[in-house]
Amino acid sequence: MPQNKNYSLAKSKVPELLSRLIKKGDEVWGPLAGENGDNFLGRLSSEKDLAGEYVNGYLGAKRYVFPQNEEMFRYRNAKGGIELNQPGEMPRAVIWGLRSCDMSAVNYFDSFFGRGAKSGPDWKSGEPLPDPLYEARRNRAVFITIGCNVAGPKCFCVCTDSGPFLSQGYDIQLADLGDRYFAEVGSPRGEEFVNEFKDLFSPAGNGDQLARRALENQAEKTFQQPVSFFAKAMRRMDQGHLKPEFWQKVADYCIGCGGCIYVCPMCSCFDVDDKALGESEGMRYRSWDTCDFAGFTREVSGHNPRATRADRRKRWFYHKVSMDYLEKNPVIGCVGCGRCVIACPGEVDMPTVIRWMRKTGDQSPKS
Amino acid sequence: MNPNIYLPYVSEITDIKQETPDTRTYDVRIKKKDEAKLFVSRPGQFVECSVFGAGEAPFGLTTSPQEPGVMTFTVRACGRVTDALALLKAGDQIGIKGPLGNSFLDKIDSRGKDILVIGGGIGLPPLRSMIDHIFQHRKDYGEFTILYGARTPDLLVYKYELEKWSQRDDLKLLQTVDVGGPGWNGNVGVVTTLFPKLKLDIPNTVVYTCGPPIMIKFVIIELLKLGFPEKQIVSTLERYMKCGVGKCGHCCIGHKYVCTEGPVFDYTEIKGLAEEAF
Ligand code: SF4
Ligand code: SF4
Repeated sequence: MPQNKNYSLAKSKVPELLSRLIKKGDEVWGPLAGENGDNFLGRLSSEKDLAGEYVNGYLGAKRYVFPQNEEMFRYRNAKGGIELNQPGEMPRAVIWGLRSCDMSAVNYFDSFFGRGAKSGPDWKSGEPLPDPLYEARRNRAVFITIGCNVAGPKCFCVCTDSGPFLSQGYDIQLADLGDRYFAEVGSPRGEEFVNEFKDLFSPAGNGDQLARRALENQAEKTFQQPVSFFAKAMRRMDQGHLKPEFWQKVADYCIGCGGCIYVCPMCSCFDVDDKALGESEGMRYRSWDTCDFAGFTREVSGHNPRATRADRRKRWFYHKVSMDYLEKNPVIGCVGCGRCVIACPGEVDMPTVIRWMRKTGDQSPKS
Repeated sequence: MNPNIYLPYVSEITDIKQETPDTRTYDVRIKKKDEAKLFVSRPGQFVECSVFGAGEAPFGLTTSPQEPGVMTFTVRACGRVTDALALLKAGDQIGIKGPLGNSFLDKIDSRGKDILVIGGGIGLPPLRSMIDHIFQHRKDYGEFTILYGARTPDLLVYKYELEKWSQRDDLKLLQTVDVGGPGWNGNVGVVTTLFPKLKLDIPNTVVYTCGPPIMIKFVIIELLKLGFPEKQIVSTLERYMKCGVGKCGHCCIGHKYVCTEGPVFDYTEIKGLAEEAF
């Protein structure tokens, strides 16, 4: 529930805010400048690590809420038998400067990994249990997002209702007003955070709210790659208009690198494995996996229900833009961040294939 | 279950039976009493079994025990986890997550109906939990027939049970093998070749089947030809699975998770899937 409490934060105070958080022992995550001018969300060791100008970096909040490799528990062969130990408590994390699309992806993750998800084990209570690893990270995080004044060149969040500004789902949402941020509080946790740093936040000035609205209107005009064909594409898919030849064409351009899935903030499939940490000790961990790899569904007999790349490409788009999944999930599986557009060497990214789907619908379904 | 859905219960193998050269049946008990209390399985459900260091794999439960915290599963050694399990002996410790998935009992209520069970090879074990359940409530069910096939006589599992079942007069058991061998006097041919030998009251019969995908595929085709109502054809589905609790994404068929929405499906659900089930 947005609480509509508005504050102002001078940009000059940001380094102090971040350095106080880091000194306190909080984990602070924010956009980091990478080596080749790229940037990505990472953990800051000092407020000086923060990237300057950026839209959205290569990897979003997925890196924090659902790390690429994550320990699930440890096992130890002790005298009395096997002992299992769960990961310990972690400090609070402050995610600074997350973009709206990435926050929307976290909100979707909440519905998938969180309590009451329609995909969890339906235990005796009938109330599916949450993913404990996700929940632990989520519950200790404060998300401070920032609206986008200018969309990135590949962004299309306006088509997926996930930006450029949000109306809910954040703890604090910032709007860049030049020398200061207009800060909207969207949750009790956000309110607590502002209270903790009362000396840095001040009440929002008259007119700042209007200025923020104007920014949003202005931002919506800066999209270079609008793709508003999702509804049509979904219909094409659900009515069975996309024949094997369609997916074969997509597969012909795909080299099977899995890059689209790696960068996608909405993709959450994982593999589970054990790793020895010594003679009698080890760890079970999970790591990102992708439906794009043949081994994802290959059975021990050698039988593979998704044996061809066309099967697997179809799977990815089906999971993201089918009516079947939209009935299960609150949103489609894309937040319009544009990362797959940048990552895909074959240029068969989400917006491209959505355009193809729509065109395929223009022909007679029987052809 | 543990509030941490990924954390197994430490359990002990209490007994092992050799079924075929590469297949063994494991009796398992959850070690801690308070954890054992929480483990009450229903026929058709499965567990994720951890051999620490090798990983975990899903196995269908093969009995319908009245006591919480105990279970039996039958496993063919054919992969990393199952090979590691094959090296263990009674008294060794493993991890158990579960019971997972749905049950045959969640599908059409078959009480008062005739029952036809069709198993192929290593597909008999999961069906046995339902067979067990029917024996425990025998009066609730009508005529009871089991068809069981395997590639060769060597590969038939539960020979000791088959022996006992064939002597019961409240059950009709027919067996077949694809390729006969010395000492085999029974039927030779795929399991559907047994169909003509049956006198079935089709509108009043519920079928439970499990086996290799190709077998289930042809069994269903034959059953539909015979005029079985779709809701009365109940099958388990299988997919490569990792977490077993609806998160990792491996076992999806279309938008259904085999682990949490299955493994038991009826034919109305199977035919509605966006991907081929078999
Ligand atoms: S599908 Fe592409 S554009 Fe959509 S959320 Fe994933 S990476 Fe971003
Ligand atoms: S990024 Fe492009 S080439 Fe790579 S797997 Fe995805 S669609 Fe295929």
